[in-house]
Amino acid sequence: MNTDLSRKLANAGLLRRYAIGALLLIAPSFASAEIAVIVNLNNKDKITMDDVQKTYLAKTKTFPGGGKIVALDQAEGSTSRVEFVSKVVKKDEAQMKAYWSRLIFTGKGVPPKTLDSDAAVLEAVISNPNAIGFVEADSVTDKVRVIGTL
Amino acid sequence: MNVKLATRFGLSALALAITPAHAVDLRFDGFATFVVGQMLDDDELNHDPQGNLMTFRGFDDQINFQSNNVFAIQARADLGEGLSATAQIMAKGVDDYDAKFSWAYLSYELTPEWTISAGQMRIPYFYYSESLDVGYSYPFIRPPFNTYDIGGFDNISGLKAEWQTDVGNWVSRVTMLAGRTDTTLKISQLPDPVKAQVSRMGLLAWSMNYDAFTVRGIYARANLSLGVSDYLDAIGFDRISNEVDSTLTGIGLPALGLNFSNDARHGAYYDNDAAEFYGIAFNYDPGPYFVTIESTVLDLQNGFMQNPGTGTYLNAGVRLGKITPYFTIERAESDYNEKGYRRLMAEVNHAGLQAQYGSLVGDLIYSGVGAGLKQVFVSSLKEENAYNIGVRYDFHPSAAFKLEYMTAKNHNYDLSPQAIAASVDVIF
Repeated sequence: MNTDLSRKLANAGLLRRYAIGALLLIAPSFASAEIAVIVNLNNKDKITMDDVQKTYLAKTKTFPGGGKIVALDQAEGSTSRVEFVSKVVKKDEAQMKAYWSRLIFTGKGVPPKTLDSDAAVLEAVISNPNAIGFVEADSVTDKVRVIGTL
Repeated sequence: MNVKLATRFGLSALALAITPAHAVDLRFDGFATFVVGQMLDDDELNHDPQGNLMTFRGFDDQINFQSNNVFAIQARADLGEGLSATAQIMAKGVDDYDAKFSWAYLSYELTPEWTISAGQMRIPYFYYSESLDVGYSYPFIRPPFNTYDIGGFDNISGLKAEWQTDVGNWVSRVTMLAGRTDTTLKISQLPDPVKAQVSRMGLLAWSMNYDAFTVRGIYARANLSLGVSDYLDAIGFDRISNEVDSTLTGIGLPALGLNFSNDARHGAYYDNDAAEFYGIAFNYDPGPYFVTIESTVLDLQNGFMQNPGTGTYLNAGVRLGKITPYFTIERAESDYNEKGYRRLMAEVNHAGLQAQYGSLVGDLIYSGVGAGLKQVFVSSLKEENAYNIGVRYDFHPSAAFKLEYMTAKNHNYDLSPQAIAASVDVIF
């Protein structure tokens, strides 16, 4: 009985995921993925979304605990990045690019390292105690700490 | 495929061969701007009193494709442990694409808050100074022309310390810079470029940012030398003296032999003379719209050029998706070095002239010399209101197209030039 229920629930979850997947395929432009901001499990600092925004605008270089931030980015145009830039940094990608062009060519900042997938970001965050990154909420595992989802 | 593989292996082998002891993270960034523009006025409107065709913002009455073009590549080597080396090589259409190092410096991050740099770098006079050539980074085709005219002293060799820290919810950034620069300058009143030197420069800039709001203040001082004394003697003092004498002898009167002391002439020169610059800027950019106001003062304290010169502008725009309409209004004005002029006039003995030539001719000589001397000082006087209206279109993730109409009311020449320009700004 119990196992049946959990199986059903699991199936429902799977079904839902497929259904959502199908929806995403049909109407990708309407998709609005949940984004999770993640850090290493050993990072116990209290980090707000404001701190995250400042990090990706080069206004903060250290975690509240003093550790030097290694920020990770994803490819322009990827679902994760479009959502992250709009929800957390509160800019669109063109504004973000113009903003960073000022920092790069004035030597005031080096953009976060761009990784090419959620999996690569997860891997980097798992292996680097100072890393911070963002992935689609669905991709999150228990090997990273989630600061927040949006 | 095979060729590609071979190249890849070849490159790997090369990379292995030159891999230094420590991993170096090398990063290349680049930008380019292509501008085309033309003045819209009738030819006769575009000439100064001497009959020279005046250009407006680098445009003339022909379609101009190249003088505003810029192409640059920046390389940054991260050497680890906070040490990095940055170089930017730029080619400008106005220099016939002669590629030059616009900056090259070493930076060392002492702490996450403190960074020191040494080498050749951009002087951060203005809000947009450091990204002055990166058209992609700002809304207009070029930053407000009169305010951003610092006469070519853009870069400096020296030391810079930057301190970025949080003050409550604000981010504070303090920049301290000291250095010197030797260069050649093209001064519009003079036929050939002259030697120029800025030494003992000290600069302090402080910007405070809270969310979408930024305020920035700056003060700089330096000693300025310009190789203009020969020109000023030839086209100013000696010419005035010669003209007075030839007029006098032409009507049968004895020559005056007017001569100014070196001390008085120095009032028009720049010979290690103090110059000061200060400015303030406000920027509010919450995303859907933005407003920037900046005001600056350049006080040369000595010499024949505008003194002091002030520039103030307001720029605002609205972001409608990929389309950003914007406008700018700018006011620039300058005074002239009255002290320098009076020092020279003090050496023209009005009563002596009346005694020697009679009061009528004496007065004429005195006022003629006065007018001639004044011309030396007021030739670069500026009083201009400028306006532009334009639209930026972010048509590609790495490129923007801009179309801009610009005009100005120049009160010195009573001119109202107009131009229309388009640009494509790219970063890569």
